[in-house]
Amino acid sequence: MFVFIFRRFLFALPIALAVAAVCFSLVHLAPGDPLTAVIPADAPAEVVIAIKEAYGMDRPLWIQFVSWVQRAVQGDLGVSVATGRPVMGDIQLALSNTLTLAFASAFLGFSGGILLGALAAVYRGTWIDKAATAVAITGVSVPHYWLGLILVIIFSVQLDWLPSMGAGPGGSANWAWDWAHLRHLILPAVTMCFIPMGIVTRTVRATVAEILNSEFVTALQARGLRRPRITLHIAKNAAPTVLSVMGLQFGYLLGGSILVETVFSWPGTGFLLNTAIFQRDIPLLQGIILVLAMFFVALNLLVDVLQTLMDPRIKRS
Amino acid sequence: MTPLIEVKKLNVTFQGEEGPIYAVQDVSFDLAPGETLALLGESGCGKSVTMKSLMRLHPEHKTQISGQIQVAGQDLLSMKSSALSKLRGKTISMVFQEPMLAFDPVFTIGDQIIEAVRRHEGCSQADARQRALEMLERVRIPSAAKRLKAYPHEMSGGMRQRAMIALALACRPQILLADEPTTALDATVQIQVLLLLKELQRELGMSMIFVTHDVGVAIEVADRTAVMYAGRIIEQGPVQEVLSHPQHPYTQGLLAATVHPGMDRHQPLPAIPGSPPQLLRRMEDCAFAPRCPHAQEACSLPLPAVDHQAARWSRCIAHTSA
Repeated sequence: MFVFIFRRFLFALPIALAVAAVCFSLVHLAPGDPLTAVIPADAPAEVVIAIKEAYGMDRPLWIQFVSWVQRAVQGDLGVSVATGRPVMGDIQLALSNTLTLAFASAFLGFSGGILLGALAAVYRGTWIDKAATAVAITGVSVPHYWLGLILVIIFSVQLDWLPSMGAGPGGSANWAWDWAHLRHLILPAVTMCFIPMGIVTRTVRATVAEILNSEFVTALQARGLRRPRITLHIAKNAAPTVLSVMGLQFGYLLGGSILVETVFSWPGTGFLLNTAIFQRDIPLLQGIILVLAMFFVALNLLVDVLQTLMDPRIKRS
Repeated sequence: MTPLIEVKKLNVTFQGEEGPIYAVQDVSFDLAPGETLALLGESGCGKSVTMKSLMRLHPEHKTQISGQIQVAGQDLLSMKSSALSKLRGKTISMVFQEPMLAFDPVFTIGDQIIEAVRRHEGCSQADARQRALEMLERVRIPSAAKRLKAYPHEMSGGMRQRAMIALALACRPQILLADEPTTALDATVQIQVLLLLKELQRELGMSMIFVTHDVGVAIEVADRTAVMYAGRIIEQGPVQEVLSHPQHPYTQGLLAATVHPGMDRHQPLPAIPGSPPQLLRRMEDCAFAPRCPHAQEACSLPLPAVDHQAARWSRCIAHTSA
């Protein structure tokens, strides 16, 4: 088992490196010079060269890449062009807020999706199934920035029940699990949970329906097992498929929250990314994308390992 | 002797998309303690449907069952689901045709046997494990202790079916339903599994209903046989008598189409012309008449009632009206 996890980890390394290369080259693929944000348009040539040297932009690309990766591995992602602060500190702070939001949305979306999907599968073809499917399709189809705005109009503007902006008292650095902060989490979390909920609903419905049709469920009944026990069998059979979908969805929640975080001014990585893009803050941009991509790679690794632990039919080699 | 199973006028109707399907019509039979009955017939004739009815395993919202089924003195069709689940696996147990599909693929063989034993015997995990091990040894699975930890996909077909038998017999049922248990196996393994089943039946003193389409298998295992066609039993009696002197033209055709030693291998096998009817209507007349070489005008009239208690009967006017 340990060998298996280790091997999977080794497979993930080249992927991580490739991702880093893509993040790095984004700067050079994007139109415009990365330094235009720093250098005044009318700066003399020798100043331009001096600044280029200061940022190390005069060296060959691959050397820049190697030293960037070297420092990134040690937790140094450079200094923000806009604020002069180390990028890593800002990202850590934003990431913790994004994780808070992602966990809350995932909790709502996954539990709702599992419940709806299981109900739909058990009551296939009835109105319960149709209602659950309708909710799932609506959840996946509605653009979430639009949904966010609608929720703000209803719950913040009309009813004045919940705040529409920020992460609560103390701003981005002072998150706590109390009501004063949690009320800020509710609207963005609810907005974001609909897509994972819809997708998990559909996955659970399809997976459980297929399992319910298989002969071994009849065979379990023929052994005289009671309902809770049979449910356990079905859950264990459905788990690997559902788990891999949930892992991917959690990845999307981390990386795909840009619009929602912007709508709600939630101080997470999406919000920070948005800021970085508008300020052409290249080191910050690279850093955020790299960190989010690494999370995605790690998440896939985790799902892979969990799936293998749960399904004996996947060969452990 | 009171029979262990008494089925009277069983009708099973499925709610199909294009109307009802009369899968089993007016089926009656008994099973005495220690006896083996072979349900013989081609696929789609209602053998498996009849078997599943004996454990009420059909999806309830799509199935209509009428008639009477007594299992070990209890009325199966009026039973509450809690009583039913106590009966299943304990009094009456089933071996399925394809063990690969009948085992949960993500639980070990051992866990699945232990789970069934604990459900019905209420014993500790250690005792149940001991019983599981005994059962695997009893069905002669080599290195049984190791096999407890095996997953279904890690075993060969023959081993899986042995494990399935071990599971079905783990709670010492009085009745074993075997639904074509050897059909999915290699010919050599078939015989071994068949002999094993016979042996275990003798040792444990169970009754057995054996579903098969293979005349040879029926002769091998059964005391009595009931031949099914188009959802009905059309001939019934001691297996030797029925198969040596078949009364119903369908049974005669079935036997003629069977390979047996000493036959001329260059001679084509005589097949019954046509194909079985679709079960879209309730049939009072003979369902076989359109394919029958001896059909007369009277065959399209409702068939006279037969005495199901008789040791030997067939549902053909040539034998009932005589």
